[in-house]
Amino acid sequence: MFQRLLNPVDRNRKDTEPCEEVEDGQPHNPYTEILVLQYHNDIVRLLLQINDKRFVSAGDDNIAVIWDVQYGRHVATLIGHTLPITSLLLLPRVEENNDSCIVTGSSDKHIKIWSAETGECLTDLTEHESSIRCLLLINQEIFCAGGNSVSLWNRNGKLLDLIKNSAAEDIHLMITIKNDRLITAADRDLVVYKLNLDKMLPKLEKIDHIQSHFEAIQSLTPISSSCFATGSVDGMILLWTSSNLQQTKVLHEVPEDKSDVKRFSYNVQSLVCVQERYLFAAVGRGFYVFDIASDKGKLVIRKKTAHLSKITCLGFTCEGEILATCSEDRCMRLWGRKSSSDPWKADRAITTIERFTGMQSHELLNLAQNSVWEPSLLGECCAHGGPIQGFLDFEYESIVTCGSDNIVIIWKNSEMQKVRRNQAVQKLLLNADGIV
Amino acid sequence: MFGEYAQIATYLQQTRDGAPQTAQECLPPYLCPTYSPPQLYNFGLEKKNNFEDFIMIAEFSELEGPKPVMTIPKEGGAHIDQNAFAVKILAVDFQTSSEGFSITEDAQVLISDTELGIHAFVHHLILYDNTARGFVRPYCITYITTEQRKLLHFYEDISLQFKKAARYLKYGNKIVFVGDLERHLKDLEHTKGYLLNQVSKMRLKDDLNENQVNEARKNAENEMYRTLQTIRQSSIEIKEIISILKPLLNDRRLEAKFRELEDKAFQQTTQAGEDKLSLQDNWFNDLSSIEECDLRSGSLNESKVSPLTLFKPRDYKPLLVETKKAKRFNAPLRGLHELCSWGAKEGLKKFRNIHNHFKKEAMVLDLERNESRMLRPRCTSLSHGHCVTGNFLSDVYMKNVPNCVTNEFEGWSMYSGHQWGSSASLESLDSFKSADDGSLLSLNTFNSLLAETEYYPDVENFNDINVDKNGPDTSGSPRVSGKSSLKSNLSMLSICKTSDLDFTDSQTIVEDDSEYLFSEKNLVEVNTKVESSTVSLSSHTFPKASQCSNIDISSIRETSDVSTHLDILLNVNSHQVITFKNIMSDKTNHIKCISIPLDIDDSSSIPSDISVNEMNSLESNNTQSAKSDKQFTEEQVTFRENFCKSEVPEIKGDGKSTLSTLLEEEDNSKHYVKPGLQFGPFSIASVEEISSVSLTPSSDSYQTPSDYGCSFLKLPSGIPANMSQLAQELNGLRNDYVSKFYVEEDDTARYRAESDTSSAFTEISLRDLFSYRDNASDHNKNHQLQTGKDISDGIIKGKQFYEDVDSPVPCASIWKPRCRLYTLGEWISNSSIGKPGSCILEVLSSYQNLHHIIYSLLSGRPVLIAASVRLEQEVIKLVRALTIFVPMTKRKRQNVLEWTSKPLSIVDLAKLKLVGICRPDKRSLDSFIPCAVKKTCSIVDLEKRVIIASPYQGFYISAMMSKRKLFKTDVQYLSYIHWWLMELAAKAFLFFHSFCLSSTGSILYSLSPRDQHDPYSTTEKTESTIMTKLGIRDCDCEIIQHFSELVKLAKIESKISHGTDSGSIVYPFNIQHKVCQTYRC
Repeated sequence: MFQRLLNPVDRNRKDTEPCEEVEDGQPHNPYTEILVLQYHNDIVRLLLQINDKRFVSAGDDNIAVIWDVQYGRHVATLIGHTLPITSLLLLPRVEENNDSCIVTGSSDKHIKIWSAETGECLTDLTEHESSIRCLLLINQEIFCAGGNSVSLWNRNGKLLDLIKNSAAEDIHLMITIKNDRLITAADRDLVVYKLNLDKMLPKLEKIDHIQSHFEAIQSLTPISSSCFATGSVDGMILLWTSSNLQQTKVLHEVPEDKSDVKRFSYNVQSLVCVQERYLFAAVGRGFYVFDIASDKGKLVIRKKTAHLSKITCLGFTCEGEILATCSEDRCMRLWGRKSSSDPWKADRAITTIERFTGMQSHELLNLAQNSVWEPSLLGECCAHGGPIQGFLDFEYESIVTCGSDNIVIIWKNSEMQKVRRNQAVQKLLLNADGIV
Repeated sequence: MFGEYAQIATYLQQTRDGAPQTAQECLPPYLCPTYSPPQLYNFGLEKKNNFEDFIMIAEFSELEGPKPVMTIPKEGGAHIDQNAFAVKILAVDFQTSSEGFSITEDAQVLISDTELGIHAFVHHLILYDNTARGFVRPYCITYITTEQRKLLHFYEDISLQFKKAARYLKYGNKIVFVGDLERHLKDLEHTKGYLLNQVSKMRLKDDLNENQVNEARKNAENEMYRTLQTIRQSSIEIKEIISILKPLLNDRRLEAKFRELEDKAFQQTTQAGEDKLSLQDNWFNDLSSIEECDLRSGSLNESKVSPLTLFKPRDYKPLLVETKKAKRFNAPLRGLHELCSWGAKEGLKKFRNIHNHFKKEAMVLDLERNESRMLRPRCTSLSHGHCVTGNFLSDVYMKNVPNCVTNEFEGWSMYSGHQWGSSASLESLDSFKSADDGSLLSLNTFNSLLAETEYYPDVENFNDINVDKNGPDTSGSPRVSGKSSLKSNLSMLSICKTSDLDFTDSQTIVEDDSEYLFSEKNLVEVNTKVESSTVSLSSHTFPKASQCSNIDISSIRETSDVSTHLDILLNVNSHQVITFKNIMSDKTNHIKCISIPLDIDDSSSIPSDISVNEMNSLESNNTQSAKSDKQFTEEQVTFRENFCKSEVPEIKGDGKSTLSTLLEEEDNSKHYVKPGLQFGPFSIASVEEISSVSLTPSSDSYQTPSDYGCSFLKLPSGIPANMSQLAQELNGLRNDYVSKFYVEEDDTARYRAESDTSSAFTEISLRDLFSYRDNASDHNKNHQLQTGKDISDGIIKGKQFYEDVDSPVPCASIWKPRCRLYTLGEWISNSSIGKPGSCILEVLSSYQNLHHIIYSLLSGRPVLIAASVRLEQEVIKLVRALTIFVPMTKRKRQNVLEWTSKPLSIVDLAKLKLVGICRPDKRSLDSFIPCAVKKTCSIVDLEKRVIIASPYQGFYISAMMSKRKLFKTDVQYLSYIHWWLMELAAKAFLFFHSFCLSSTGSILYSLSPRDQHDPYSTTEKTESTIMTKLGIRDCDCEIIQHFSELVKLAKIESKISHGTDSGSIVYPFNIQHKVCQTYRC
């Protein structure tokens, strides 16, 4: 209730189903221990996992911070940008002796490469002379930066190629598809580049320009080698074939009620694909899952009103047992099954979607013939003071979220943490030379 | 030595002459006491050889024989013939060999001089001096005390510390000596060269005039040869010595230390630009204090060539050595500082520390030794408010945790370096008052024996979980012991039984109940005796007739930062409580809290004698120790006697007087009324067992400059020697009580019923009356009503009291033994305004349903107390009162915020656990408490008188709350709460060791959170098994869990933060998704 009052946007929504309230006491919510990481002094928008112990966060305060996920220790601060950092990219280590690196792209027309170990700035790239909106790793040696232009760099910071973006808007999404093609999204346009990854002279070449969305493209995700999906602000999700770049399906039609369109309440905020088959779409306040492998992109899972406000991002954690959705209503909600009806079957669950739904794909499809499966609300993680901007999954260890309240929160499974601490204390005490 | 006692003497004068006179002047004759106040305190002053311990350094000078060199402190031992004593202690020759040069080991002996009444620990050591006979300078360093016990009990410690300190001296000396020898060798070489030169010159001359070779020249040449021979010989000798000594100079640590000292000294010199290496210099301040007996150390004034230099290369110009003449030994010998250089400086510093430590009363030392153990490692101690409720890894020393490695001296002094939050802010007056309050409490506490009974079953309970019981030495290891561990965790309880003041052996806790068994019959006898003695003694001068006399001596040092608080409580005869409070301050703001309860439970024996003796000893010792504390400007001691029945409270002066009432026993019509009088920083309190009506006359109405025999002294602080002996030597009464109560099932059944879950932290528990005699109750009641009225009316009632009390009937009512043991010092229960726990009773009585809030606090859920600005004071009061429920570890985190108008965020909640927040007028709660915060907190809305909290369903807090009406003062109730909190901490301790540190606690059954509900319940099963074993149920489990999590975190954190990685770690915040309910408050 409180939140509804605070969010006037949501107040008029009478038409949609009411948002579910979390069960009292949240017995199914394992994430009851939090580490509140405070270092940023502006909105934290980006999170990037470095390895299973560390991650980096960045945001509008022009800095990026490397954190240790176990104890929330602040490891290093990446200071150097003068405008907000818009994108983060991890360059994984390629040889034994070189460290993994973090690439940050910023609106200040700089790309900086940092050591992920020490936080030391290794390279500062300025040759592209345009602001950066997104970064994409092409292969181990080469990465691509998008913004006002598309530029191709190698690991050492050498500019390989650069193509100015003709569109008015900056490129903010990029994916690669098969046959070394790069798809970029700027506003409502998709532009396709050919990547010539010649060892000697890698080159970019613009090969196509597609315009099929009516509104700005908000999300772009590869599904499989043969197709990818785009989602736009107006709520339309399009499936594309990779081979000939034809749009094959429209997954989510704009609802009839035009009055709502202007507010883009069906904005496709995020698209996540699982198992190259299930496309998770965060649309407005709810999320939908389509089975791409079926004929028409069958809707298999639906939660129309998962949050009080727009879902900003979603992702799986605990290897699929829990779907976490983050929203502008300051909460992260956890979805899944409350209890496994058939424990034996639950044990055999291998794939993410099987763990999540407790059903195998055909069962899910069969179910979808009649009704759509709805996950149960397991818990509501409510600690942020503003919209949650980013989500990062550390499998069973923890979930990391960042938000507009300038903080990063590590959510931990407190039961597990208790055991971990027992182990840590035991280790301390029972160390060979521990007790004198 | 008596000079320092001028203040006291003046005061004594007043007490003896002034005060009684005024009393007699003011009072109508019938009100004058029929006895004269006991002159307790001059006794000690006249006692011989009451002096502070000192350290004397003496030397067997080759010129003068044995002579004292210096004392620590400088004026120490002024009253004894140091020369004679030096002769006595140096009448030894412990140097082993006379052949060649050998290293002589130090020797340590104990010497007693019964005539002087002094005892000495003598550490003999040899310093080397190349100018001295045989290169040796026999020294001895002596610790001189009047307490033989101290030396015997702490022999190991003293010995070890002396060895350590002497090492500095010796090491410095060796470096100096080797340097000297090397220089001497150079001298010899130089002389040799010179002589050879002479010879060759002579030869040359001979060559020139060969014929003139005569006898004289030959003689000269022979002479020279002889000289050369001597030189060669001594060269060989010196080289040998050097070869022996050089390998011994291998202590890098000491050398580094000396080097550091030297660097600092010279750095200062250069910084100042001129000769700063003089004695006036700060750096050498402590040298200068020592140096006066060593005139030659004036050479320090020569800056650059300071003899203290050990490492600076000195340009040495070899000198010719006089070889012909026999060595003269009349040159003044070098002083200690010249001999040992920086070693002397460091070593003497050590000795000063040693002195500072050991000059304390043996009892105090004992306590410190025992109790300080409880605080190590510090990171795992858990505290509530000011009360340390437990240490989970007591005495587990960790090599790899730097935190745990403590400096030996640091470790010695209890709490030294242990900062106790706001301890430094114990304002002098306030703290005094409250301390006084506390001692009042000590008079009226109850449940003492009850408590015994209470935990008794529990001890057995503990035993189930493998605990060893009562082993005094179990305190040395991570304990899972019931009574004993808890006992030692908190405060030492030494119990004595003294029909004849013959105490049982200290080290054994008497378990054989037969000896001390109290049957009900015995009790009756005892009581009758008391009764009779009361009657008979009532006419005596000394108030020994009282069934209970509580003597409370408080000595409070008032300086800006009061930091040390010793609290010793003696319960003599179960009726007499002697409380010593000693609040001292020192620069370091360290707090010391000690409590010693002594129960002497034979009431039939001459109680008055006991108290007289006690008090005498107290006083004498006070005077002794005053000396040591002379640096404190203000010294105040309140000597308070509280008489239960026969005494009328005395009021002295026109200060504020408060009459505090005591608590009523739960089921009993008898009550104790304890009027306590305070004036300024002094107070006198007495306890009256009288009425069921609690008497609280206003202070004004009870201002009577009368003297009813309560003596009241201003004394310097100190610790009573006899008491210490008592404390040390007596043990076991508790057990006696226990056994007694085992026997007296009927009597105590009701108490047991109430207390079946309580455990062994009984030390702090309140003790109570063990039996009643009902025949007197009616009488008493009437009486009390009467007196109560009278008290408020004025003076007359004093007399009445007197008469009534003297009459056998009231005396017939059986006295309830009381002994209150303080947790870690009286100041813990300091409930003056602003201290944690102040106004707790008021708060609890004015708000309902606070147990839900307390539950939140104890289980780590933050509590917000919201009100508008106009209720700010109320909020602050509430916050302060509830602060005692916030568990804290060593971690210095401020987790209580009294008042803030800043909106809270989740970040704050990770730190703050109890916050008073300003609620804007006319705005809803939601508008200033963010949703995320609100969900994770319990909220008290004072404006609407509403509590939103997760409901508490459990035993402990209910138990804590249920008895609150029985308590009349905060202090009493606080200690009751502390007791329960310790109880909880004890359970948590057991849980921690039996589950968290066990293998089951560290198995992660499944990573999957869903599975954790099933397989993890395996863990929970174990968890719940242990909880069940511990008798913990429902919500209490969460409290226990929270406690152990806190300790774990503190432990891990201390490890991590000292790890190689930099960066602070974040304290995890547990969001408890709980169902909250709204209550009215």
